[in-house]
Amino acid sequence: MNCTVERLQKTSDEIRHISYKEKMSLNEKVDTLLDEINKLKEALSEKTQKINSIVSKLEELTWFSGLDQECLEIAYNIILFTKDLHHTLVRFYTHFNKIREKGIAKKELKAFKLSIDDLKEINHDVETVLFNLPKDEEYQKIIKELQTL
Amino acid sequence: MKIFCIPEFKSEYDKLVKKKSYSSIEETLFDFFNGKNINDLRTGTNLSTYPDIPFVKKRLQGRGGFRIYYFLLIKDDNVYLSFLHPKTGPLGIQNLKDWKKYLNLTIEYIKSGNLYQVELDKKGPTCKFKKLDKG
Repeated sequence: MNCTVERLQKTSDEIRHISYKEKMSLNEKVDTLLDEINKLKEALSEKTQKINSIVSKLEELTWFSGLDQECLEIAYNIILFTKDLHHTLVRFYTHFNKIREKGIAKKELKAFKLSIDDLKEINHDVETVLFNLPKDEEYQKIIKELQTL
Repeated sequence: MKIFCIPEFKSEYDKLVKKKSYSSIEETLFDFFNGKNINDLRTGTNLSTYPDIPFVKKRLQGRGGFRIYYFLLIKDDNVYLSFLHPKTGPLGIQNLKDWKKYLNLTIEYIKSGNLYQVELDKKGPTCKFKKLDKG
């Protein structure tokens, strides 16, 4: 009889132990997953801030006037580097398509995408202002009109 | 500083205010101009290529919000609002291509006096539009 009790007790202890370990393991996995999601959110927010800061700096370029050849060459390189950066960021963003579909880091991914779009928009505007409009005769006529107001 | 707008701006503003998803434009526009002087408005993208006669494209309400286009006649301390559009949603425009048309119209309307004066109403907070008598 004692032997039976011992065997039952041993089986009971084993199952209880395994059950406890499995619970802990599951909690750890969930915690690890949540930690990773938080890290992803932080990384995205940090990238978004950096892009927004570049957008502001590019906007400032449109307020310069009388840029000489050397300055224009530097500005042209800035536009090329920004185009390259934009392509890289778009590729980075598409890696998260599946995550986005599942609604993970939705807010952060949306803000990140909007900042990438802003980067493309301002880079196009800088190119227009510094390189295309000065050669646009029709536009220069409009500017002359502005100067008469 | 006095704020004016051209009829195209007002009609776009009226269209947006009626749409629930864009109704925040009322307060956004008020907040943008409230307490500012003309030099505070020299931010954003200057499309005129001349810093002393800026035609500005400015982001409103952060990313994905609205874009406003305005001309600053600094010597008269006047702002002329030319166009406004949301960036996203059913009336959204990614990047306005024919902005030159609105700059041209702004010049014509300044000359003809076919303008609205924009007043900031703190009770709203909102903006009120008053048609000017053509001078």
